[in-house]
Amino acid sequence: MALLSTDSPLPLHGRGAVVTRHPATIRRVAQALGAVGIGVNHALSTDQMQKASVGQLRVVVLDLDVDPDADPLALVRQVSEFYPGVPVVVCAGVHAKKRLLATLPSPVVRHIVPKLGGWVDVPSEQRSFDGPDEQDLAVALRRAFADEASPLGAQPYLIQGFSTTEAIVGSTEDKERALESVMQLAAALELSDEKKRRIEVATEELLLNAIYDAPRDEAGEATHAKLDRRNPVKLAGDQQVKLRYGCDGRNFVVSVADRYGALDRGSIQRSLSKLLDPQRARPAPGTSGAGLGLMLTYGAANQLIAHAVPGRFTEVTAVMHVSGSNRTALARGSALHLYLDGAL
Amino acid sequence: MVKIEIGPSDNGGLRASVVGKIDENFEGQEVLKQARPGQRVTLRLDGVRSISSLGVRALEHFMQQLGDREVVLEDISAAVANQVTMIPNLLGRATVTSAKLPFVCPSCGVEEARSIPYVRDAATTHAPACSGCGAKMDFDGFSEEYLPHA
Ligand SMILES: [Zn+2]
Repeated sequence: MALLSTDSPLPLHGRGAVVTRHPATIRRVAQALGAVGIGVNHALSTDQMQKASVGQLRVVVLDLDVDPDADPLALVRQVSEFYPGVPVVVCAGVHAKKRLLATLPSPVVRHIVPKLGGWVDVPSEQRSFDGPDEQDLAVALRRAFADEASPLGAQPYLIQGFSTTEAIVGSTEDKERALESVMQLAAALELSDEKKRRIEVATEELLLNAIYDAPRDEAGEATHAKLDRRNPVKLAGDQQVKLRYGCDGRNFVVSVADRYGALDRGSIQRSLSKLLDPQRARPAPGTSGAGLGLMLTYGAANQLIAHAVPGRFTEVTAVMHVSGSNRTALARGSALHLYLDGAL
Repeated sequence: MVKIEIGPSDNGGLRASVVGKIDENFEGQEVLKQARPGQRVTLRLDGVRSISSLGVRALEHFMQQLGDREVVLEDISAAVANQVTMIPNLLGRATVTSAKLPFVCPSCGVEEARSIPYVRDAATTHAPACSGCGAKMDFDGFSEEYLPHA
């Protein structure tokens, strides 16, 4: 039996456990971890996970396809009991949407990453997928390890140093203007109708959520949530919302930050679970319909990033893949990255 | 904002074409005012470029107000088709006959929205011929995201 050797000539910032038996996933995840200076402890199954010394392990990447018939939450539980307190990245290709979203109730799950090509539930004979996008995963982990406590805007998801545009939104009218300027950029880039639609949906819903759902009074009660969204609103100076967006030819990124930090895992989970039970996705007249906007944004985006520090800010960023065809973008699915409660 | 153009259809029904984004301001009053009780209503929806979360509710409400009339939807756009896969009861009891969806020509690269029957697998079984070179076009999407699949 070979000994697990962890010697490395490179300066590493800790190690990550990677549980997968899918070669493309091993390669892509190892590249992502390598890019952020994390060495890989590989296991072919949850039974083969290796103990790590306290504090050495920074992250666990769990491929749910190690057992496609197992309950995804049970797999996560197995991993989190073995590596207590270590944040988990889940990835999957088999029934990816359903099985990945099923892990959201577990607070250790911070990143949900579909394998490329595994998102749309095609019949098994047509199924073929690669590993998760290593570049996107590296960016997500870099943000997690940097432990930033301020909004980052669109920049992390664009080529380093690429410019972004900023707008302050303080009213319904501002929202319309901001949406128009985002769509002017999309039109100038001659993106296809479906790509433009996804950008429009994500931008509008993120802005609506920030204007109507986010504002809180001193007691923490939502002040605008019950307003009929057909009525225009005007936000006070300290309630205003910041929109930042840009496109580097690969990603079209839209990021919206408010100053409340009220978004939590429970509301994200409730909203996204509607995708698994569409009969429940029925909004009440004039209101947001409890998270329908976030669900639509997630459905439109290839990555949805939620970062919140209670009482300080919530920033939600949607990344739409725009290079290649509509089909290519759809096949990438929707990753979810959570940076909530100041935890990784 | 949407624009609605209304005219008669050849079978004594009412025909309306909806163009633009369906959002919180969508009411469809023009259609509701002109449609007589029991009159068949045909809606052409290929001009709907997007539906917001508030538009989802507004559209659902509009469909309910059409009551027990026979409602036929023609050429629903990719925006409508995609939303229906996420919110199946969005269109109430209406019958969808066709969808106008994105296709790409593998031979000359032309991209076009083309109308195909709104039935399972129609993107392959009814793949259109390219208007430029005549080659059979590829669907620029996945059936599961735009067409019925049950
Ligand atoms: Zn052609």
